[in-house]
Amino acid sequence: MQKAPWTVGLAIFFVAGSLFTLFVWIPIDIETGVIETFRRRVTIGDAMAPTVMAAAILVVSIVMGILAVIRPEPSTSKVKEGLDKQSFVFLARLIVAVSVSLALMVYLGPLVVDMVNAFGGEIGSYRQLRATYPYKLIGYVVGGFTLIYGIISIVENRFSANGALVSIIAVIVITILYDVPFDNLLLPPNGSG
Amino acid sequence: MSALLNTTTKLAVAGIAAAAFMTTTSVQAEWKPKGPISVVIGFAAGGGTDTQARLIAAELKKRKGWNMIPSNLSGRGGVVMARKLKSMPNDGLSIGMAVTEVFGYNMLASKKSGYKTSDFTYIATTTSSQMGIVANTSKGWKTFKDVIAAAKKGKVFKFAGMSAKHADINFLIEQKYGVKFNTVILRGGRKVMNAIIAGDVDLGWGAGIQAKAVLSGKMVNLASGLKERIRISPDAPTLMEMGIPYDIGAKFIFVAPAGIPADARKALADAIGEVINDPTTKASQFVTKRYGGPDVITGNKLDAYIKNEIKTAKVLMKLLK
Amino acid sequence: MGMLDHIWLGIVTVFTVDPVFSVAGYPVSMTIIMVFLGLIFGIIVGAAPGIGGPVAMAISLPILISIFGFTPSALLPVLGFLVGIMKGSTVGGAVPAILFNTPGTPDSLMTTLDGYPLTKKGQPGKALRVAHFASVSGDTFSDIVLITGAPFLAIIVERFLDFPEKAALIILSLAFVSAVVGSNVWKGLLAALLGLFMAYVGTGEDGHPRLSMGYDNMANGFPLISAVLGVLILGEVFKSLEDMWREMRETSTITKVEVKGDNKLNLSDIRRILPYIGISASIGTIVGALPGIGNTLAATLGYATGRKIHKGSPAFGEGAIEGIAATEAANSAVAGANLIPVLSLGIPGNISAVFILLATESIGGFVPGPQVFRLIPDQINQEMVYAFGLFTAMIFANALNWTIGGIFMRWMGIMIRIPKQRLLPIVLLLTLTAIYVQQTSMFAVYVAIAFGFLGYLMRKLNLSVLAFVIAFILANNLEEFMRQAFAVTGADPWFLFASPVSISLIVFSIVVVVFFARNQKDLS
Repeated sequence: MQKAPWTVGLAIFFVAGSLFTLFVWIPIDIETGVIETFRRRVTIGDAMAPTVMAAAILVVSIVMGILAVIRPEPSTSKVKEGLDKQSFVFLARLIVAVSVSLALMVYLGPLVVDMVNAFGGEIGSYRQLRATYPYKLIGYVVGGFTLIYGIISIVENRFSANGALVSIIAVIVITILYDVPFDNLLLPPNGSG
Repeated sequence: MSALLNTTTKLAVAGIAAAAFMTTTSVQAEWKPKGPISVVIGFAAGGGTDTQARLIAAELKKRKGWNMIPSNLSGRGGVVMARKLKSMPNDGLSIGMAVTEVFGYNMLASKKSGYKTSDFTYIATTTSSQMGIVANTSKGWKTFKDVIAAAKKGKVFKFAGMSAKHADINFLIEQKYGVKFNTVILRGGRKVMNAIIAGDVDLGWGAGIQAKAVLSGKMVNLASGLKERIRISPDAPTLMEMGIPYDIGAKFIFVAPAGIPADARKALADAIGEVINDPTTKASQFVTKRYGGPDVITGNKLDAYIKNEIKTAKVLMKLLK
Repeated sequence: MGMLDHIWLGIVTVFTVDPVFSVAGYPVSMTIIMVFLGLIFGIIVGAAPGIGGPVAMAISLPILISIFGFTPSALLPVLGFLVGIMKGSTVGGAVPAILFNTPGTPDSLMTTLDGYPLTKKGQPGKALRVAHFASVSGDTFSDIVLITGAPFLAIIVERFLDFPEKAALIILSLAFVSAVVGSNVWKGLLAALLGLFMAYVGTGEDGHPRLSMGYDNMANGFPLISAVLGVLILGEVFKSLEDMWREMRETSTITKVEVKGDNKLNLSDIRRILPYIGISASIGTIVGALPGIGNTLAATLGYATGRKIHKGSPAFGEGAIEGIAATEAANSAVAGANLIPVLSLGIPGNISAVFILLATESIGGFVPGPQVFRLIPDQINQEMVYAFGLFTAMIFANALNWTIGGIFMRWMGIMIRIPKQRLLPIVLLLTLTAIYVQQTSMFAVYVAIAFGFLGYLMRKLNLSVLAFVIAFILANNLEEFMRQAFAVTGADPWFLFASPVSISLIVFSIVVVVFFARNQKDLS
């Protein structure tokens, strides 16, 4: 008999989550009730849909959990369920690579502009330059390169010059693809202004 | 890091401003944007507001060489956009487009709208909604009075609106005439039109999208929600004539965060007005086809208009209490 | 205006509007060019390792929209390109399966069973030609069913469905998808419910965005495109990256294979495979028309049925061309039929349909649903013209696929040389960029990454991402219909049980769930 610890864990997680949602989150973070009466008009309030869903999740996860204990599925699937230690190692590395790249993408451009200004460049704020070469591309190109090269290096478990070359070419091609033909498209992080 | 960014940015801006001041004191030069202008549209792509905003932006780019970058931020009839716009920098490089209701009724009716009248600089209106009550011609009604007569016999009609304001007006009508509607709020004019055509509802509110169907005789404007009668349907009475003392019309409006430079406000307003009033532009042709023509209000007149909008919204709310 | 006028207008629009250049005096329209480019692009990505039609559609959508704009005139060129990708990638997907025994997508897994043995015998050319012939036949058959079926289904639906019935229909679709997608009905339901719940965070009617915890960025909920691309594409990218990383650690190399050989498709071969194509195409079309059960099941059923009726040698699994034909006809026939629920009901049944819906949502002017096929006396229903324009584009794509698709497909063996571990990080950056330029906010990018990790976890825990995504997309429609039904019935709490149609839809939803729960099966 095959145990299904992940399914049971999932069930417990969702039971706890839906109870929290039903009794804490929904009451404090939704203004209107399940049914609202306002100037003679009776309508469904904002709380209806989330309440019904949370209740349904509660029921379904209880059933799923009980079935997983009393009637475990035969392990027909070749892929094993759940995460192991390896998965966590990989995830940790992936998250580091993604966070560093995004931070570069968002902050590098403004930082460079500030530095130029600090050294007497007087080129204006990053916001004014977010459609001006080369400032508008600094963050995207460096951040994008870091993302691609970082992940290639994680998967291949080494830093290769060849991988770096591929990453540089890829970032340049993507930049040209979006930036050159369309001047109403702004690459990250420039459109948020 | 953001603190560092802020101070250096401020220094830079001050430097630029000083430089600009020195070079422009001799000639009163026209305001020019120092970077790209973000145009945040408060409604989804493809609708009436979106189409106007994009056409105007494209024309401004062509005429003035301003780099206009439109994007959509829809939700709650423009309120989501207003919240976001409020906190954007007030250098004239961020403007938004919505309808005047967002800064009047919608703001007051919501428990927590998250913004107030003084959070914005009002730049220019473009055109007015042709707000009317619409039904399929096959229903046999000529004006809204026929609907009231039928409703008085105890028939309960399904009546679609686009905002809480429509529900409130319907409530006033119900009280005034002692009738009952099943009012339903749909998101956007197109959904109201579809619901009317499919027979899911009996009648609904339209802001101008119904023009084509009315002109072809498929639908009929039963009443006008404006001060005056709807241009294409002179036979339909206004609600005011029918004893509902409220102008439900709205205008499409460009706004910016509060406190943008006066010359930027003027330059933007002039440029937008110029485009929309020029009958050769696509933007002007669009508003003429759908809303009966441009209606540009700017400057102090616009501030007064917004104030009045709030006053009438308050009157309406009092009436309902 | 009758149906025929609209069909004619649709065809005219595709071929004549916006001519770019002319060939021998005939103008070539923009839509035609986009279908062609989409098809070629689709074949390339179909043959490339690890990326398929959905990724290609996700990446190209923002570029297409910035080229063609947000006006309805953009609809046909953009949809034409997407349809081209859809069709090209099904054909291209067979290439790595046949040549290298590595299915590019799960639905070509069965193609490897007979395709690779043929390659080993030195007949990869024959295998590719059979796959192409079967695939395009199945696709064409399915399109014919779509084009003839969808308008009539829509008209029936429009006549019988009011707000309450529309809500009930969404419930039935979600119940069906949840029940059939995975091996466990309860997990399917959990995934769908989670998708619905997530879609309700930050949305709602009241001024205070519900469950947003006062966070302004959440004032309109999770951006749809971030959630969908995050779970569908980033989740898959993360999971595949991990698989490769593991493989790399164990063997210090990632599997690679070599190309060799060539061959022909004779008339006698076609006669041999035609019956299999016919049966599989029908299976694929039926499966495709039901929401949620996609290509993989169709391919499995097609192959299994083919094996049952096949006699003689070579047997299935030893390089029988009938095996390739049975699989490819079935999985390709899913594509067209899949658009039936989305065009006639507005309910997307699979990933390609999701992208068609995302495109129409971004552009505006065309909202898939029953009103598309409504006839308005003395007036042109522009949406119906677009629908028939879309059908015309599909037929044209098939014609291209018949003629040049096969030639192009056989050049694609080279694609397998691209190392997947280098391609996927690029896909990741492309997808994030695509999301950013559409939403112009870093928040949308962060949400996409968060949903990417959610998609990764769901794949690890066998929770269906398809059920989640379809539920997420339909959630707001469902709530709106419920609110409207409640309002127009004058606050009748039993509105879902007020008409025979909605009662039967609800009862059927329960029956579907109970049936599949009692008969635990392994469809995947």
